Amino acid sequence: MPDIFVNADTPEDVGHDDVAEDTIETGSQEIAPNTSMQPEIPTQSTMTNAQKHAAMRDNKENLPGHTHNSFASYYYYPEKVDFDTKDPEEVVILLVRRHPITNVPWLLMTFVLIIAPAFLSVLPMFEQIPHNFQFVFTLMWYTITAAFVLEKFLAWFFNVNIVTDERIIDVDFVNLVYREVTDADIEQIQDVTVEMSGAIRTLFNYGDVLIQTASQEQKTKFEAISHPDRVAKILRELRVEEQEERAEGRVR
Amino acid sequence: MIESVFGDAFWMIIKFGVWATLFLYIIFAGIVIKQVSIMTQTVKMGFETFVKLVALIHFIAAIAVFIIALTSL
Repeated sequence: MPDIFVNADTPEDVGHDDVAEDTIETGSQEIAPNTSMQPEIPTQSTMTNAQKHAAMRDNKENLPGHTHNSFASYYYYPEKVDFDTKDPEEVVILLVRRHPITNVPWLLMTFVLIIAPAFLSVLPMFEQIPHNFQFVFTLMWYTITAAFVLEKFLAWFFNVNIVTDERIIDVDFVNLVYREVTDADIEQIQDVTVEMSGAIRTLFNYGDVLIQTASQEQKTKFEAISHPDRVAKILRELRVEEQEERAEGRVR
Repeated sequence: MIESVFGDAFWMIIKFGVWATLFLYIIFAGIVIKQVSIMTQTVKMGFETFVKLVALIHFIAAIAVFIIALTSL
């Protein structure tokens, strides 16, 4: 599938092939490229993690997984992402949403809904309906189809999972009138489980990431997201950073 | 014909049913606008204007279909 929604470059690709022989110049300093999820930046021992992430955000064009595509399902250091409970100092590291392939069932349903009136109109029953009613029924059909498409698209586009340097946020719009926004601090994460089962998920490299936090029994679930392994790795790196920051007494 | 079986009363009931359904649909389209507004306030991704515009066009289309149904039935 031409994957216009998922970023093509993997950290491995970029790290080993594309960037390996180059160096990134930042001001007067030369930075050797690295192969980890987060590129190396000039760091000082006194630099907080927030400052590190802010520096990486400024250098985001060179990051693997960074994209300008608003429809991306995996968006590393997104440019324009903001949310209502975000702290001014908080840096958004990752935005993920369900893999685009999960939209195929409702897209197929939309196709059926679009072509259905053409088949219904050949039924003898339909011809007995007055023409003005036929016209209005067809209009109603396509209006409801439009609503179906709009709802499905909104559910895909706005049901997102956000990882910042301080916490994880799970935004769920269950239906028209119910939304659920769950957040948990990075330091509260106890266990991260990646679930990828089935041929389709393996083929398209998407799955669930279950995050068990200390404060609550309920797990936060990043559902059917692209590159679940990468997400788990980023979460692990953030947990390590938080532990280091806590150990060094640099907690914000 | 259906009309011959049920008579004019049948189509009169259908007509009011269609009007009622489309009126409820306008309310639904209004809720979608509100929902989009809440969504774009909760998470901003630099795509708010387009999504709000689509929701507004959907609302206008719902009103247009209602008016067409009122005039043509």
